[in-house]
Amino acid sequence: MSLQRSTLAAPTLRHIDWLLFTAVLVVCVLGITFIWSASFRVSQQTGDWRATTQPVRQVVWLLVSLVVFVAVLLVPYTRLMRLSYPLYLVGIVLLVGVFFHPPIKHVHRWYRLGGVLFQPSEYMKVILIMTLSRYLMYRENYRRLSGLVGPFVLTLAPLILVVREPDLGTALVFLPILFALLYVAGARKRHLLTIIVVGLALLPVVYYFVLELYQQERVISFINPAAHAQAGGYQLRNSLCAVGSGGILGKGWGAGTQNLFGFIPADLTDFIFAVYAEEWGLLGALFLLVLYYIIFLCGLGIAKSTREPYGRLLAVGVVAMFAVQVLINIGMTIQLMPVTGLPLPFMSYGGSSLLSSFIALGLLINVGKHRIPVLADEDFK
Amino acid sequence: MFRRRLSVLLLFISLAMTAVVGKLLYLQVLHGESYRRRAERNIAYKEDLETRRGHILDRHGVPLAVDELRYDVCVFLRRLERLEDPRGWCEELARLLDVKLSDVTAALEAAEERLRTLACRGPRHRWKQDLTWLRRDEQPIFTNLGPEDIRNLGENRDRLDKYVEGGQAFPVFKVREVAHRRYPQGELASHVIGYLGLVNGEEYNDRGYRFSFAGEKLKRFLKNDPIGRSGVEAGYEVDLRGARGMLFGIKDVHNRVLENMPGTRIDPRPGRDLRLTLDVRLQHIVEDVLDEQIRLLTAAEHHPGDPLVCGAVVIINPHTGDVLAAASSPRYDLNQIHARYDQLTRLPGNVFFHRATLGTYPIGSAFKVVVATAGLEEDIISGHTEFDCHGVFQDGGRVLRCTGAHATVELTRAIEQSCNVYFWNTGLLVGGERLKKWAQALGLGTSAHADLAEAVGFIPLPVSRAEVLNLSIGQGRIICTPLQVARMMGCIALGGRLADTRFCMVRPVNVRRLDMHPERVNVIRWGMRDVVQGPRGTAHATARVEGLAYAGKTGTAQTIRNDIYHAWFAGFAPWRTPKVAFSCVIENTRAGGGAGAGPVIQRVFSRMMADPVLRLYLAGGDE
Repeated sequence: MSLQRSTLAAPTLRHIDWLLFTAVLVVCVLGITFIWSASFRVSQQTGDWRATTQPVRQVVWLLVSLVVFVAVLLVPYTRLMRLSYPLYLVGIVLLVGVFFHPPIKHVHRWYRLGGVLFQPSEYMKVILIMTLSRYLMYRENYRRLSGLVGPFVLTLAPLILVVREPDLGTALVFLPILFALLYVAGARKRHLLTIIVVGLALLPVVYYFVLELYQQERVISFINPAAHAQAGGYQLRNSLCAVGSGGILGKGWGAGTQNLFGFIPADLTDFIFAVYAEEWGLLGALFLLVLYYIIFLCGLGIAKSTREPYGRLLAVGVVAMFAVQVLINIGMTIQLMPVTGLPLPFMSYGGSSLLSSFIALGLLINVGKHRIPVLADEDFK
Repeated sequence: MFRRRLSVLLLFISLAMTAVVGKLLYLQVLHGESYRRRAERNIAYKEDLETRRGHILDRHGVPLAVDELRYDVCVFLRRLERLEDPRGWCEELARLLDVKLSDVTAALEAAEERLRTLACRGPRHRWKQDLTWLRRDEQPIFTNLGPEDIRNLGENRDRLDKYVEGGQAFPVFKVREVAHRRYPQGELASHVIGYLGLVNGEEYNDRGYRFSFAGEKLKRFLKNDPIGRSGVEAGYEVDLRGARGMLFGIKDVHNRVLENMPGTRIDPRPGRDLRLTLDVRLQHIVEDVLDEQIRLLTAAEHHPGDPLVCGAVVIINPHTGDVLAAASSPRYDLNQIHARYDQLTRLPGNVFFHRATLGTYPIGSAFKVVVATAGLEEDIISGHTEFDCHGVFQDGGRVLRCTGAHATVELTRAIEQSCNVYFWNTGLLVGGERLKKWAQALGLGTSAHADLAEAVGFIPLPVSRAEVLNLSIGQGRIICTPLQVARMMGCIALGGRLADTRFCMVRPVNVRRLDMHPERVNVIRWGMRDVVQGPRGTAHATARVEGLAYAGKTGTAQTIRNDIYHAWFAGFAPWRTPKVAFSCVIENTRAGGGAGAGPVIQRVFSRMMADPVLRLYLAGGDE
């Protein structure tokens, strides 16, 4: 793989995908607006301005994220590529280390650094994309079944650690990233099908031996929400009620009754879409979906126009990560998926999620910015 | 290949997005309206406000059954356990309620235990979740407290810590008002008032009382609501039942009402107070006298194995049909009914049975008044018709015995001395069909149109000669209630004005007129007068009252046992200007009508005459 440097590859602002960046920023602003709406109720009743810290904190996190985003953008991604394996090791160590940290809210999911919670699994998603892209950029690694063992091991190691935290939601993102990368990189369909069939056959085993009781109940309540109104189905019922009652136009910002009176569970984080869809209705939801679609299209466009194998896999991985998170999060809110704790990228309240999403975005735009001319297979067909 | 696979990936994402949009359309457009309604229900807070049942008063307003407000002290267990100092809170509560700390902790423990039992009834694997759910609501720990018990608590409620969450303070306890039925007169008129039970599943579910009652939504029953089971409590349930109030507001997910949000309130509407036609003072005397007589008879003649001596007395105003007193023995104390229900049901003689309106008895010689009326009104006999009585009556091969040899008697004498021969002859002349017709016209064996559960009784249609003879002296299959007999006597007293009986003043007076000739009725009235006033009258010895001329007729009805009778005495008073009609039956006695039932009326009237107020009921009785 010969990398020929060219003056064309010099980073300029013009090469930044501004449409993608704008879409992301609009989603972030929407996020902050509705985090405000969701935290509004508490402040309204108590008159305690501190109750509305969440939107302010989110703004601070957004600023921090933008700084990190710019930093990621400044370094050509080809240099970051070299960091892939070392970062992976650091990530694994952090994921193991979290088990030795005192549990927060009864789970081993966060490190407490000062007043801030640090969630390694959020960053592990990005690291995994880098690592897998690094591995799969070589043809001999993905055309053979034996070569597929590597990516699986690389994915399953953090996945199992995250499942044990327990954090099923984040772990769920790892596998689609792996499959998207394998598929796009060019793995044989035969191999992928075999793996999927084996995976499906293992599902019952996973259900009974890996999932915790509450996670099993969530799966059941997804299938039949009414029967488990008081268990997992309670969240789902209220979220469905919020989304449905929004109607076409919505109830208006800060006027969603399900939101105001506390019926939406985890309204700042996992169920922010329910708050949004209740207050802005179908039209608002379609607007948000269009924004996300623009993000995916731009991301895939970058992948398409990139010849350099690491960069284009990186782009695909980032898009796959965003897409999976968006689809699972919104899907669980409207009962297309079982309820799993997973943030909506750029929208949900939470520093780790926002920062890691912006790092991923930085990598994506970085790929689009640093055009590296490469002769690829296609040029000879 | 990369680009193709990229397109496939994009297609995949696009399809998933389409699915999301589809589901959103389904939720927000197709089912938007139903979800909107559900969301409104979610925040709608509804609370039922306790109401009270109507009081039951006597005709002068003396309370017989009153609903009092009692208080339950309830605790929010979940809030209590989250206080900083739950024990201190309990100590303060114990001090304010003036109970021991151990009582409070025991009550809390009991409430906890109750919830645990309740939670364990649900699905096993989530009893803990259910318990958490149940512990959100208030739990009664001290019930049925009087206003004086909670006065301290009410005045010092701010001294008890509140549970603070999210900057809002929520009380840890709640004093719940509960309506409690009390009967100031105890046993008095217990059968007329009736008792309350809990609404049962058949009424609650099948008859739809849970949704509305008497066409009113607010009168709907909640589980464990009291409902009248007998007496006027049952008959006037529609009036007595109060309408609950409603409180509408907005609540949050924790079922807490948000006070700064708009709400509406419908005030509770108490049930209508019900005034009975009973006169407490008279009822008191009547019950007293009846019990005394039964005690005396039981002491004098009761042998082991004899059926229980019971009895009933009815006194009505014949002009309006007002029941002034209706006593039945044995009785029960309404205040104790729930505590002692099992015991009461096991007592002999069925204490819950209202003999005055539900008891049916053969009426014996008191029926002779009907035979006389039928004979006179059908122009078969007149006041001067005479029959010879030698003490026996030959009926084919049978020899029937009279109460004595009365020689030649006319109607007045026949009634006075209760001559069977006279009425056998008259009965045969009148015939069974007309006997039955007149009995029913006078209100026997038909409803007395009372606003209380009553038995109808039965007048047989005699077909054979023997049956006619039997009916002529009120024996055989004929059965009537004391209320019917009193009403019949009232009709005779007023010369054909037959009033529908009523126990409640709200019921309109309804009087029907029978086609009876005043002079003919007068013959009977003279005869009945002589029963009491005449020296040879059957009740002269036992029922005569100094200073009161009144009329009556005794009856001694046979039972299946030869030595035991039902003793009747019925009539009206005063004789000249009738103001009350009465009937008295003593069940299962060895005494006849005069000796068994006569003294009851005698004592009642004596005591009424001695009472400056009750005396007015008998005004104009001096002769």
